[in-house]
Amino acid sequence: MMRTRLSSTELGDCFGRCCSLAVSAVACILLWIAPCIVLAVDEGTLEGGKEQGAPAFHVPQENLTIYEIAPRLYHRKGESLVRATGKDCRECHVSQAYPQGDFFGWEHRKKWTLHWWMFSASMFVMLLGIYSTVVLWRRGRSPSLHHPVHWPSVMRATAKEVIMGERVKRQSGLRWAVFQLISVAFMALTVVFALIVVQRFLLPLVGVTADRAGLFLDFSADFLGGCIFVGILLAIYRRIAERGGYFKTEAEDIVVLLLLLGIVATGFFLESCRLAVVDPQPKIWASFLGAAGASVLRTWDLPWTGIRFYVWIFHAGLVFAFFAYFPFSKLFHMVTTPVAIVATASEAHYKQRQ
Amino acid sequence: MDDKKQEELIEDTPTESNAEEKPETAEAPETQDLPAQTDSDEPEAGKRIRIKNLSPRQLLELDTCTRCGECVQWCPVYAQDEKDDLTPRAKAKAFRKILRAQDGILSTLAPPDSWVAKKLNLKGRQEKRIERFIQGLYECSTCGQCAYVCPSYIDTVELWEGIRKSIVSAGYGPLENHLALTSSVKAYDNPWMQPRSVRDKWAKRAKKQKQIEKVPKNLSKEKAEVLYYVGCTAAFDVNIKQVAVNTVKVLDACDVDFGILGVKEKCCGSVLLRVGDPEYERLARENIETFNNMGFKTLITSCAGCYKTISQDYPKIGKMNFEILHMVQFIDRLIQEGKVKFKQEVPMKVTYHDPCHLGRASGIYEAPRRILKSIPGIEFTEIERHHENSRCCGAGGGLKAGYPEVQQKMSQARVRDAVATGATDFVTACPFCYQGLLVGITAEEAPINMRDITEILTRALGVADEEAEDKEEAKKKAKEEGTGIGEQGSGTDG
Repeated sequence: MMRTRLSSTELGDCFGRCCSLAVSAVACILLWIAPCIVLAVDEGTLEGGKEQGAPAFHVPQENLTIYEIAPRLYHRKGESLVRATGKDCRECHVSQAYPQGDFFGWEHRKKWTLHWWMFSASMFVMLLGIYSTVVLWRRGRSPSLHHPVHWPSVMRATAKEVIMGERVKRQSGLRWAVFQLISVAFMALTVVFALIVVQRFLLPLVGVTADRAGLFLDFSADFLGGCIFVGILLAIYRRIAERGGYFKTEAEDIVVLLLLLGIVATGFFLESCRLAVVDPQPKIWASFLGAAGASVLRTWDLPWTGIRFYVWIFHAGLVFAFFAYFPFSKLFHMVTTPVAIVATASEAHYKQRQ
Repeated sequence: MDDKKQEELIEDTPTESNAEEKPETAEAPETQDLPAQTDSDEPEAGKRIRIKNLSPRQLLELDTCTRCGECVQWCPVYAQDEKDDLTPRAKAKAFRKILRAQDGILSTLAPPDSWVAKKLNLKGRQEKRIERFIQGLYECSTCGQCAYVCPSYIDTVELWEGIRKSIVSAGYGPLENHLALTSSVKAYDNPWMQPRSVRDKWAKRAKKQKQIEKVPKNLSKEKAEVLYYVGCTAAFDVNIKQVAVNTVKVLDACDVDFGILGVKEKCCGSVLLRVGDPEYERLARENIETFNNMGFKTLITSCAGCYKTISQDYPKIGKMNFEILHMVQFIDRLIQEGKVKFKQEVPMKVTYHDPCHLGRASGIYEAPRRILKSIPGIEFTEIERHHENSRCCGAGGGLKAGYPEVQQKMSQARVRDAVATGATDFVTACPFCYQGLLVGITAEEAPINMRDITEILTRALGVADEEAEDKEEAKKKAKEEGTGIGEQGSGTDG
């Protein structure tokens, strides 16, 4: 009988296993069942609040995000007045975009300039890093596999190890919980984000709205983001609690954890700032963590729109730092580990236990 | 034979007469995958480490390590010598750093001869990095435990062996103590510095001593169904040659039509492969060609190292037209087919050590256990770390030659595992593990006998050496009376 070796306390293991079972179950429901049911076409749009004295063309409140991400998109949709005046929608609708009518509202356009410059720089560094790494890999000329790819082993390894992390589970329950909360939730969040892009930007192009699906995706994004946040906190706890011996914390580990923590924390703060300045309707609770944060922020009379502006830039900076740092750090294992796992699994099939 | 002489014979370091011989630097075979061999004996400072012999997958694995530390927990070398540099995670990180410094963005922006590189002393720092890395790289028995526990599934054994080859090709390795072994293999086709003509002396002596009826067939002159590949350890080590004799007895008792290569047999090349000498490929090709032309159907060996090399590593060099089995697989098959009848009881309480090259590397765990459990009288008890978690004895991977004191500690740890089971006999299926563990038994003065599985089989089949059995009985009595210590099984040659 093979002996497994656990390095965390029994309590940590128990908590880890319960936590990750719950996350796995909910993630399964969210990712693979619910979107299939919920992503039905919804003809009606949700009613947005109408401001008094608003101009003739109405800007639905939920479409604010389109302005934020792709202001030109609405120009192309045929807002002829806006095109004729050359003004951004927010210049006439400052009070709707920023109910507090904050001075920094019109600065909103400038942040996109900064955003694209930062994005370009980080992409350049990231692509340069990836390119130099791939060039190095390609210097190896020996065959990577000595046998034909055994696809059933590859599929099995993808499910068992890449997603479920069976080997990690055997070794440490707490580490497995961290893996599930961060890695699996991150993978799921990537899928959710892709669905958000489809729902909010691509479907409207063909005249389809799916607002209920949008609410569901908002909920999923918050839930998975929350899982990642909890996972990072557990990872930090583990680094403190299991110090010494084989478990070494290097400077890079601290940088990576703080970077991820910063991204998730500022992301939630941003969402809370945005929701703090909009009409607190029930539907905002689809983003339940952001809404909870917003209800706290509302108790302080501060220029949240303005604060959001700077936090937005900071958050974007952290995200782009993540992209730039990605190929030079152990974060790169997110790409390389699945490849190594399936390659080894395929080769191991030809050397079976006897 | 006293212990000191046994140790000398087992020792891999160069003898006085050979100490001043320079190793031959034969030209590397012309393959597109091998880097060009250097002409000078000393590495030039700042010599590039070529990585053509590695695969893209292996280079990707350097970026796969998450430095979780699981390998450090399980590493049997680290358990005895807690140096961070020898841990798999440190080696992966260090080699990655070396390659980045050599071929990365910084080296492109600041070439070695540039003012910036000289000012920052990049060359000196790289040399120090390489020197430190090599110490850690060779302080490893390539047991594969780290590969088994790695959550990223990095194939560390292949990686270390590939990197060693790059290091040797660049002129930085192997270690000083390895040079005698590698030069012996190149010059004499064995790492024991023995002439080729005495390779089959074990068989002739066994016949003379009437341990076997006749010297096995020589397949370079006759035909047979099975080739028994003896291996260098069993052929030349005085303490281990009984393994070869016992194997012949077992095969004779089972009426197997087999033969040996005699003086034509060459080293399998495992020694060269493990330390990274590129000459391995030439030797492997020659062996494959020899084997393919012999006309036998099955190759069996009683050495786990030879088995792993021929079954796992040779196919990467060339195709073979025969089946390759370890002795335990072959006998297990005969038992399953009902062709083997055990005639005698063997009243022993045994525990089994999984050799790394047979277990983790080749996946053979159950065959030896089935054999032991099917022998009447044997009481089998499982050792604490077994199967994929078997604790390495330290004899392989060039560790015994490079770091003999570490190997001794490792074997002592393994012997303690065996003693803790309460077994009287410690069985293995690899002559290299046999001699490695013997070091531990002697150092620990452990009350346990070291046995190769072939010896147990000869007893069960009723073909054991009677004189050796009598000696064994005498030792047992002496031990019971409290006058003796645990020694090896009847492996000594008079």
